[in-house]
Amino acid sequence: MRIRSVGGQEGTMPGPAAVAPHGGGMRHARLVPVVDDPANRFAELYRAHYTAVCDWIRALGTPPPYNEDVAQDVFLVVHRRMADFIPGRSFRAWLFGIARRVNRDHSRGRRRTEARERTVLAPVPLPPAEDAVAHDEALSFMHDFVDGLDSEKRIVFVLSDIDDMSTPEIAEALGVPVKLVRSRLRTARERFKAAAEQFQRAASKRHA
Amino acid sequence: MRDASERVLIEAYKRARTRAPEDIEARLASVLVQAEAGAYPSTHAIGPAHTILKVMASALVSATIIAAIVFANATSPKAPSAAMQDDTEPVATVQPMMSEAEAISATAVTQPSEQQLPPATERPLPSRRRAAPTKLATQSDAAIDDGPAMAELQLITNARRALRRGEHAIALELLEQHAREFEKGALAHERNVSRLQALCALGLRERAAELGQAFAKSFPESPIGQRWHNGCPTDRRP
Repeated sequence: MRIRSVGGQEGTMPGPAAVAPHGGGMRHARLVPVVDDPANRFAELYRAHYTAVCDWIRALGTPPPYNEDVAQDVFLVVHRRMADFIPGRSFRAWLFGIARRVNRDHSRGRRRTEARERTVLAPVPLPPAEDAVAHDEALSFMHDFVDGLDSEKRIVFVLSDIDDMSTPEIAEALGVPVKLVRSRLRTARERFKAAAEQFQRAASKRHA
Repeated sequence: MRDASERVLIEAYKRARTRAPEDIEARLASVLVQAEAGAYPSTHAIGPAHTILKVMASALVSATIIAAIVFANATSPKAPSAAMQDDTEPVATVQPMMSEAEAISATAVTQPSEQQLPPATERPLPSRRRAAPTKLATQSDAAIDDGPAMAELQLITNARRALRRGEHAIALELLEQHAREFEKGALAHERNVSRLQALCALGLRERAAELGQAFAKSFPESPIGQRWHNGCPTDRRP
């Protein structure tokens, strides 16, 4: 068996500094000494993008906790394919492309096994949060709203308004025309506006 | 344009994103250990309830894989730390799928026998956070260290997987095995975090409180230790 290194080709992968990190990374960044080592580069990319990838997978239709398993496999592919990344292109678009393919493969496998395992008990969810109620209300509204969008609008909304990706970047990630991204985004935002107003009205009634 | 209440909602979502899981290092380690083992993504997902039997059956396969890795490292001390370029796998868009048995073996419980692996050493890796995987990739005297490191990582990986699937009892069993075999292992910190999660999920609050206190003592600087100091916390990751 051949042992592959963590790194691979030098200089083809953006360091985290070259990539707008997703929030999760910074907390852990200090844990690894900053040296120009491809092994560390993968670790940094993992830490910087892990939560976003989990979220994308969820937006692509795989619910928790399975989205975390899929995310692990996404990074397994990233690890293997790091050399394929073309410098100068959008790293997140590339990462999302991998996430989408891995998720699609998983969904197929899941559909096959679901019927077989339908009798088995569902995973026990972790106990819900009891504090930070307002934050959780907002968050659960957001998850409900996002989950409720149809899949095409959902992913555009997440990539644009949560990941702050540009429209051309999203078009690249999804492999669809920029115009289409714009129109999906417009519809998603209109729905968001309406839903947010409704949520706000309900919230002020609750807390009145 | 977006009004203030919409921005608040968007911010709540974004903030949730910034909360990386406590055991992110263990998760990273588990990707690295699988990558080192040359595992394909397990596109044939095991599903939420693979049976113990399946796992046991595949343990042998896993042990063989690990033994092969150890052997490869031992026989080619100059095994290049490189070789992604030499990768002969086709750079296909869709990953080739592995059989279910293989997929399971990549993630299965490993109980390598003494003959296949060098005995576990108690010696922790130089830096817990710097992580075994980096070491796995670059050390040439790997046979001495990698066997136990791999076995240790595999145990934690499998425990995490079980935990994510809600199989808390299985997770706890694996974590306790880890505690027995690698008491002061490189992933002791990750083990204890996962163990606390499993204990709390199973409602074993007293044991969790006990462990939480010991944990806070052995890792006084860890904010996680402080958080679990009083037993099962109420603020869980969603």
